[in-house]
Amino acid sequence: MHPQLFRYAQGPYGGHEVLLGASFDLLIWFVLAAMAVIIFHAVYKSG
Amino acid sequence: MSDPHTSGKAVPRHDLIDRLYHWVMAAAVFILMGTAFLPKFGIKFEWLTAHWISGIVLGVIVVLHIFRAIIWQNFMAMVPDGKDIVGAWRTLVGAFADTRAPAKPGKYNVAQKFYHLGIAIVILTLMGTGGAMLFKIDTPFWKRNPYVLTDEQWGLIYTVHGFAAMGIVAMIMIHIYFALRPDEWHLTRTMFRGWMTRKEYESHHDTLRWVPDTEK
Amino acid sequence: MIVRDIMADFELYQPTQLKDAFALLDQYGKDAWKMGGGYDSLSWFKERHKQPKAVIDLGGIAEMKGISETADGVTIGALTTLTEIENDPIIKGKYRVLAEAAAKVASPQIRNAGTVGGNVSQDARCLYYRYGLPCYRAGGNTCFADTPEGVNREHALFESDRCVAVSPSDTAVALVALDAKYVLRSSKGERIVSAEDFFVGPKVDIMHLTSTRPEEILVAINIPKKWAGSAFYFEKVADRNTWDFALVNVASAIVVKNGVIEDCRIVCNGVSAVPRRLTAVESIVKGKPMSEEIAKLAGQSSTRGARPLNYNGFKIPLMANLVTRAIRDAKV
Ligand SMILES: Cc1cc2nc3c(=O)[nH]c(=O)nc-3n(C[C@H](O)[C@H](O)[C@H](O)COP(=O)(O)OP(=O)(O)OC[C@H]3O[C@@H](n4cnc5c(N)ncnc54)[C@H](O)[C@@H]3O)c2cc1C
Ligand code: HEM
Repeated sequence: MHPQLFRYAQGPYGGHEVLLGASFDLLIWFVLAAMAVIIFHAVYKSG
Repeated sequence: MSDPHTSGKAVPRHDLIDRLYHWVMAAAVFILMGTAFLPKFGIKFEWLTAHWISGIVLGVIVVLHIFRAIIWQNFMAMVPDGKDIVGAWRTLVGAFADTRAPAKPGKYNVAQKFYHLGIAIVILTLMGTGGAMLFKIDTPFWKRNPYVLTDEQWGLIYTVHGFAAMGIVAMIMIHIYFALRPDEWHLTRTMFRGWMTRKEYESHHDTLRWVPDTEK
Repeated sequence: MIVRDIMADFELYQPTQLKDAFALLDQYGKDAWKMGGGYDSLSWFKERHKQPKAVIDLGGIAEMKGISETADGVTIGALTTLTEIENDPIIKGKYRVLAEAAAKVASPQIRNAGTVGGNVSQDARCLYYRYGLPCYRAGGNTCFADTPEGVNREHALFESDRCVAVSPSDTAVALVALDAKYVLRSSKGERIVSAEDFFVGPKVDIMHLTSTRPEEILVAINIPKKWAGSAFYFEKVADRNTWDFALVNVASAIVVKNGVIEDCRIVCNGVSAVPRRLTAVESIVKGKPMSEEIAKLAGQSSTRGARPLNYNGFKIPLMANLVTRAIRDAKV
């Protein structure tokens, strides 16, 4: 599955799509970003 | 051993009430994150009641904290000033070349100030969107009324709540990392016992930029 | 434009061994769809509201079929059809309430192919959800039924939370009355859960009616001996007498000694997202004579705490009457 940014669905009246919320597939990317910051800082400080 | 408070060794940093604010906020945020995300990892339970109640607790504490900070505390202590920016610049450049060391900080260093600004924005966003989402649920105190907004507006609110929720997970991870670092431990400890030693105060802080309450 | 009545593409797998089915579930994860008889699944596919990548037709797995007596009671393979249950001598003889419930499902054609595993695992029938609207159950952020103008006469009286859909299964009430256990297996092992853990309401999971995990298959349903040969009652009230879902149904299993109710289990469906076991009613009637008055009292107390929506208030007296009859008219 391709990670998506948002959750969409067909609107109640058909036709257009409505936005439902954020895609929680992204959570892992937020966690990885935080880990990258932490590792970068730890390495920088110890170096 | 002499009592550090009377011997002048202890420099007060966080009043009991502020420490309580911090730890109640921490507990609320942990409950909010756990109730929001554990079910998404397959750990299913009745999450919503604990979520909205913690959300309201967090909201009340944050509002009290804001009032206290504006009226009774030195609000500017958490606002980045010119010296902070210059210092941050020197640290950044210093990573690549030799420059003069940045000036010592006042009560909070520049990283703390920007972190605080960031987490304040994220928490206020979660409170604002979460507060609106309270209209979507039934509680013992009110009935749901989704008609206060349109489907599109709700979509936007859920999206912002969702992104801020994932953002706070990342921010809290970074916060805990810094709190646990040995070179930051003297600060973390003040969130438990309220004070730091005079030696810590003098070696880590500019005593002109931060004059403790007891010494004013 | 939504294309209706033409299914989207999917990979169809027809394993004959459970282990192959587990391997497929592990491979496809949430993109896999388990299929028994297909009577719930195919309508989702035709409407294109659910578009799995892979459909795993369990129909060829022999070890999931059939009914056999065990030392502890009886075990029913999840792929056993509703017709087989309806006609099985063991079920008819000792656990009649389940045969009666199975016989009331849908139509003979559907019962011939529909499986008991599929029947207890079937999805909600809320009009809005089935129509493909982006409601909570579909992963959205609203409920279209719990609204002032919403068509909600078929919806829940109890334990709803944002979503007001109900469990539509007829066999589920009978199985809960019989205290059945659900055998869920995956490549990682097996867990045997009771109804309280098998059926889930929206408070715990707003998108599913059972706790079956994506990698698990319901392989069998075990019914303990304890209720064999008890007094039973099953009744279903629907808008039409045949080929229709229950508005409310009831099942009871009652142990009567010398005219006194020694033990009982009473369950209603169509009133909440999980088959609702009426534990408060059970404790009222236990130890009491099996009489018209006690049955009436039980009926009245069964609806305590009901929170009707705009158009389903009629379910309150309906449920009360059905519970009364489930006690008064239960027969060995
Ligand atoms: C016109 C019509 C009328 C109906 N009327 C009634 C009625 O009056 N009463 C009633 O109770 N039902 C009724 N139904 C529902 C029907 O009885 C059920 O759809 C049928 O019993 C489901 O069995 P199945 O094997 O065909 O399910 P499937 O469609 O194969 O599966 C249903 C669901 O269960 C899951 N599933 C199936 N088997 C397993 C398994 N072994 N392990 C894990 N998950 C599994 C599937 O993934 C799917 O989500 C009606 C259906 C129709 C179409
Ligand atoms: C750390 C802070 C918070 C986190 C991590 C968080 C996270 C989440 C998440 C992930 C959801 C699911 C949203 C979706 O399905 O799109 C949610 C829903 C919800 N949140 Fe929060 N939230 C936080 C703070 C708050 C606050 C402060 C409030 C209220 C004051 C609140 C009220 C709600 C409500 C009512 C819902 C449910 C809405 C519904 O299901 O319709 N949240 N939250």
